[in-house]
Amino acid sequence: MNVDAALDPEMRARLLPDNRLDGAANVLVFANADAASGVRNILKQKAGGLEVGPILMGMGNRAHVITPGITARGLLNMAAIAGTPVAHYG
Amino acid sequence: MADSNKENLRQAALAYHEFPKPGKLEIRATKPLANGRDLARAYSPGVAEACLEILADPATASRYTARANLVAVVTNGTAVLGLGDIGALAAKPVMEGKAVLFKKFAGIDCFDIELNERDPERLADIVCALEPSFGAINLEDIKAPDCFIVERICRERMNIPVFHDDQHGTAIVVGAAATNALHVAGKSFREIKVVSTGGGAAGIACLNLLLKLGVRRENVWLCDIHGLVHEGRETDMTPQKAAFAQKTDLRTLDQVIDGADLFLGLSGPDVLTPEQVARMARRPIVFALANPEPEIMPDAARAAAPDAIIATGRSDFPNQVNNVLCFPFIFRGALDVGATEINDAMQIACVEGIAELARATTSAEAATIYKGEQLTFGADYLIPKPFDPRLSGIVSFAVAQAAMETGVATRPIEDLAAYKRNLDASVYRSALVMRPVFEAAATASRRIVFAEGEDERVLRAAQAILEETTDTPILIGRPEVITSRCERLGLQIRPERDFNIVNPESDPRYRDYWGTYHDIMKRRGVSPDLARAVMRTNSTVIGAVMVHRNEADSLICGTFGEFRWHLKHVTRCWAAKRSIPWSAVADHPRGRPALHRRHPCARPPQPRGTRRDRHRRGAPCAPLRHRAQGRALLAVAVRQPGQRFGQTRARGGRDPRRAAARFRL
Repeated sequence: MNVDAALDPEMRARLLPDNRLDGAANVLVFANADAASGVRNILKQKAGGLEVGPILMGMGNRAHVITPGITARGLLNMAAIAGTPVAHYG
Repeated sequence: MADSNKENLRQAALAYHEFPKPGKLEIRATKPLANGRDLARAYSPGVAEACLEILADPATASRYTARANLVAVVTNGTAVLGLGDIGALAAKPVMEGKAVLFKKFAGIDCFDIELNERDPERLADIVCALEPSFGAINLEDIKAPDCFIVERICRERMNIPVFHDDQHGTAIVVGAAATNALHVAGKSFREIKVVSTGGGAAGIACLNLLLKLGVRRENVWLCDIHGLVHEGRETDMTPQKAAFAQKTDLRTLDQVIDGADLFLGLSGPDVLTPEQVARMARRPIVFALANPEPEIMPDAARAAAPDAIIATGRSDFPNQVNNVLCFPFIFRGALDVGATEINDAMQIACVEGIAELARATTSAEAATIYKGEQLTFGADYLIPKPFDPRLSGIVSFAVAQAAMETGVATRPIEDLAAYKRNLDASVYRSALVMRPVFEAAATASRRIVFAEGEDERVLRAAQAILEETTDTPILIGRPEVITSRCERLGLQIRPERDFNIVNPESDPRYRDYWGTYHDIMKRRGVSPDLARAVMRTNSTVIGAVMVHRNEADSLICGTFGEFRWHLKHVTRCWAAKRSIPWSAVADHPRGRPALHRRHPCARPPQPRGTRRDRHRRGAPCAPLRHRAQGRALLAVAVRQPGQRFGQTRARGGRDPRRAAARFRL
């Protein structure tokens, strides 16, 4: 569905009256990385969001590709994520 | 020229105060008031419940009102810094500014109160009557000696902290600066000779705090505008000054300055001469804090005594003694435990917290704001910068603890560790989210290789990793560049001693690395020459090969460069291991593991022979594959040569799905 339907319960109720979802989405899954990256950057720059990541899934926690906008604190957070043994997940 | 600059500054300052909205603060509601139901709760009749609770137990006011986080800045405008007795109304811009500083640095709600009352005892009555409204009072810009009277009366009668920042805030920051200066000079409070000029509210408070820190009363020589304060003097004496009267025949500053270890000036300009500085002790400490012109300019003092340790109140010289390092954080600590006063123990805790922070490593955040300045502990960095994000966690925490230990806390905190985390979290916004990750990371010690090891952020992160986690950073970069950058940034870590380096230009493992890379990539057309060249230049690939060879556990790359470029190099190194599942960012659907046989959202397999069976078992359904590759399904309306416009479904059925498959979208 569109992002505004995911985030606005009333609009979603109008378009999808039978949907079983409650409230606003807190996880958005995008079909491609460009869309997700654009949304991420806008949230960071315009909505004052703080990014933790970007976290690369599927590499067995053996690599993370970060973006040039990261701060030293962000690198420390990524190191903490990279430093967690995979067995810990799940 | 100077005049037009001044005029520009003046206009800019006035515009700042007036536009877009007059003044520097406003009040905002914190609860929703969107409908009738909210109104019934916030106001009549629901509010009566809150009132009745407070009537029954006044302590509940901290739960049902904003009082516990509300401070009043109170003045009568009789001693506004730099301007003197300008009266209450004219003092309002300064007080608004103070209120804003409380909010910005410590999240404390604050409003300014200007009172038209010059008599100190009546002023104290008014302030005492304000007790129900506020969690604490900050007295500001009230002239000496009235301020001593007001503060004493208010502290006696009120059950909330009353703090005269001009006195005690200055004293605390001076105390921290002195603590660190003595550290640098290798002396102790007990042995030093202190000469001070001024004798006003701030001066007296500083001297009193220095006594509490260990300076001996007989070693303090106080001078004011009339000369040395001595026994038997009657001109312009106050009880506060008389406490420092020396029994001596010496009468002037010039006569007592010999051999002084610490000069503390809170008076006016041109009070101390370079020649007098030269007569002070070895490694003299000169705190020339008069504003805007200090008692002696730092350059002149430095010329007379090159080993002097100097602080002023000005921001254009190192070691600015700025009250903002103290008052937001001491109030934060006091309010959080509901302290009934700010006592000596809390003030000393504040002094020690600030001093300790200056001795710790600079944080990346402070360094970003104060770019270009050398922020390592030393003679030119005795006290932290006001924007250091760690001030709250260290100073407020120490003050809260001191309040609880001395029994003045009405709401003692049980979980101190959680309180510290909250203070830090209000500064590092990711702290709360990341806490479980840091705890999980602490269960293992992994080797993390950073591809761009020369980057300033990576170096800071490496220091933080060594200090805060159990992981080992490995940096890819040139040793000489990394060493010089670490020095420039004031970091304590050094390559080879604290962390390992991989030098792309010359590393003993080079043969092994390019050999491995060639093994991985030879079937894709990478020759040994190319492998050698790549291993000398592409630090992402170096890192990926290290992880491949199990010489590191995890790679972090991408502090500069394009995301997909890095990802391509990383995945290509590991593609042979068949561990890369299908993802939305992959360039090719190669190496899809058997796991993802069916897309989780796909409908369950239909019985054989139906339309849906067209999907090959094992492939994600076609529309999803297209979207995942970033192409739109609309691309299938392709016009074939010879077709008339609008006739996409020509004979033979140009089914959109078949067209897509045909063009391998």
